[in-house]
Amino acid sequence: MNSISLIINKVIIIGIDRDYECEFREGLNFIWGDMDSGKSSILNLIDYCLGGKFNELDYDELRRKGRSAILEASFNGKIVSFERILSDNENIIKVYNSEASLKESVYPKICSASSSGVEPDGWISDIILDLLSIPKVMIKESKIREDSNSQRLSFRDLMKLIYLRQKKVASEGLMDSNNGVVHNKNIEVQKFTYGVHDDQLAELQNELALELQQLKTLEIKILNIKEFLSSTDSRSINDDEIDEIEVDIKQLDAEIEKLLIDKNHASIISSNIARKIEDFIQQSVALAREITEIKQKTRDYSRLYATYKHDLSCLKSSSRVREILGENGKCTQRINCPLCKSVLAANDSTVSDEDIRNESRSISNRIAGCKSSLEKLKSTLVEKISLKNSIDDHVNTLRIEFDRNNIESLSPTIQSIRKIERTRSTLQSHLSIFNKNKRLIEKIEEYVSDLDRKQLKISNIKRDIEEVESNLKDISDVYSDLALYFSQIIRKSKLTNNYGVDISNKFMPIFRNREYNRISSGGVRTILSVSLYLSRLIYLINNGGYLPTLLLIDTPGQNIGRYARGRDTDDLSDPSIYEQIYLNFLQIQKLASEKNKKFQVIVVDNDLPNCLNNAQYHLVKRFDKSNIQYEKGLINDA
Amino acid sequence: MIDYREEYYYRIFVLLFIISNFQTNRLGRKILTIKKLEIMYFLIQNPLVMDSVLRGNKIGKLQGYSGSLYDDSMRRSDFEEMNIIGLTIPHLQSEGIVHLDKKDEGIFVTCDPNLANEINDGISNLLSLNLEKIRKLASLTESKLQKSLMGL
Repeated sequence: MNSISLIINKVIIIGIDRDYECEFREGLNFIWGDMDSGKSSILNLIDYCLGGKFNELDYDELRRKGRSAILEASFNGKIVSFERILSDNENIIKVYNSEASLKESVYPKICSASSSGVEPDGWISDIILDLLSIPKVMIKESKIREDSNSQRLSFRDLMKLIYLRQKKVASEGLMDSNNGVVHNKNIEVQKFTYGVHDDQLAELQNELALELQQLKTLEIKILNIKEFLSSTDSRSINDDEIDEIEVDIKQLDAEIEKLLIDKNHASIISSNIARKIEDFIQQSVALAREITEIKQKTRDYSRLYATYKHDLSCLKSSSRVREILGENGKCTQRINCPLCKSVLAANDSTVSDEDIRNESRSISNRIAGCKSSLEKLKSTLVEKISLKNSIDDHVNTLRIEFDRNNIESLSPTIQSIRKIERTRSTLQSHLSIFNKNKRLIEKIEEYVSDLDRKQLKISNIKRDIEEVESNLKDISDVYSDLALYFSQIIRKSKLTNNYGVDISNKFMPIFRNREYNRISSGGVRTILSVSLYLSRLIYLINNGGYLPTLLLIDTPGQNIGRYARGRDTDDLSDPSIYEQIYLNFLQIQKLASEKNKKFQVIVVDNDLPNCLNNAQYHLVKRFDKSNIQYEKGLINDA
Repeated sequence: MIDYREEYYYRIFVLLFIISNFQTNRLGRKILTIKKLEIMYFLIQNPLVMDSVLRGNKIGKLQGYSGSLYDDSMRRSDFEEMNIIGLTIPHLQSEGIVHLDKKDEGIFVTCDPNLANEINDGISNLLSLNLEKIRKLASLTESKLQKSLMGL
């Protein structure tokens, strides 16, 4: 594999009043200075510009004076500058394909610092991986668990292998060993960086996880259906039983049909009776109307008869008076006034004797006619009343017959139909349940078939994975090489009881045959953690890999005494061990030179050992609060 | 069509019927004043009112009345507006058939009592059937009869 180079050229802090700049070179770079002078912040700024978190930048002066940070770096020889505002909420990183000094003439890419961002040019991690020509493969969270999820490789994963933070040096949580999921992912990332992981494998593993998940879902579905069917005691459905119910339903349908015919027949009889009743009622009503008319006529004739009789009586009375008065008494209604002797005339109507006789005869005739008519009317009335009474009696008889017919014929038929329909409904309901359960059983069979297919596919994928893995670089060679480089460093480290040195299959140091996290000495853990990162860099220089030959180490001499005391004169004293750490950096420089490989190591420390020659390294910054010859800190005007 | 109830001689007949039948009480005392004559005439000519007055005086109901086509819508109050006597009494008086006897209690009308036999031969069935009831009514005092007519 080829080596990938990432060389940090400079970091610039754009401040309120002025800019602050740190320049780096290829090879060894040291930042040396007093505590709390902003040394670590330089490394954190590099990390921040490459997508790190703002909360790592806890240098107060920087937060107070700085407004944005610019990082200029060479990615496999291509110079790119990154600019990011110094803010907790800032998620945008501008990427310029130019040196920092020329960035104003270049239109930047606008990227988001986090994967969840929606900036136009995407996630900064993808941009960096592209610049480093590292494939964006899928990384499984666990190699052991076949169904574990896969995630896309992020530059943040690689940064953990490049940047040994101060708090991680000698830490129990080195390489996130206290977080199983992240630690496992780190192992998979390392395998990828060493070339024992490839895209096809990742895809296959991803597919395997997906298939296993689907397999589990299918198994759950089958189990759920089986449990449901068991709870309803319907695990097995007999087709004969379904057929039997269907036959029963058909028989009931035929029975209902027959009863409906009977019902219709009974209904026809009832309808005929009802029609007859209706006809007779109408006849009765018509007769009642006629009777009323006849009665009215009779009343009218009676009045006429009475009038004629009265008239005749009046005429008779008038004649009688005329007889009593005699011819002389029948004056011409002219009377001499008893008071004034004048003649008075009466206006009352009078009828002549002749007219009275004629009128009497005429009225008598009319009376006779009237009497005759009245008798006829009375006769007709009696007849009609008799007929009406007869019809009403008949209607009553028919009504009784109608009710009896309904009670005797129709009602039992209707009740039978209802009863059979209820039975049919129950059977239909059973049939529906049977059919539903049958469909569920068919569904189980379908799922089982799917399950078989899925298992076959899974075994195929597993076989493919094995095949791909067999073609990959043997991981034991990687462990062996790393263990060799690691043991060489440890051997020179001047640690006592120097035995049982190895690298575990989790890429963690083993010393005195003990896992890293079982080593209690802070100083020993410092040597082990720094040596792990150094051995990884040596491996990359020697063998190449998907990781830049860049190392950022913050305070590699933690827990180790740096200054000789009177009695510490031998080679095994702390200062001697401290010096050896730095001598290792020089060894790497020599190796890179021999291999003609580009590399960069940036070390931050409070001190530098005396064994170093100024020409062997580039001193990026030296901060000294007590010596005015040096800057007092990164933000030197605060 | 002639309303024979209003015919002149029929009216005289009715008046003579009232005078000849109801001119005295059982004691032979004259009781028929002009006013009473008029009331009785009005009642006989309007059978429905007669029936009502008979009932009001607890004498009984009018028997044998059947409605005719003539107007029978007269009410008690119509009595005051009618000119019943007109020229009939002066005519009968001039013929010597009726006599007017002026006393302190009023003018009493009388005639030959035998005239009743002749008159009653020509009365209608209605009058014939209810003669005794009408007689009882006619024996009431003028004021009582008038009050009965007014519905008091």
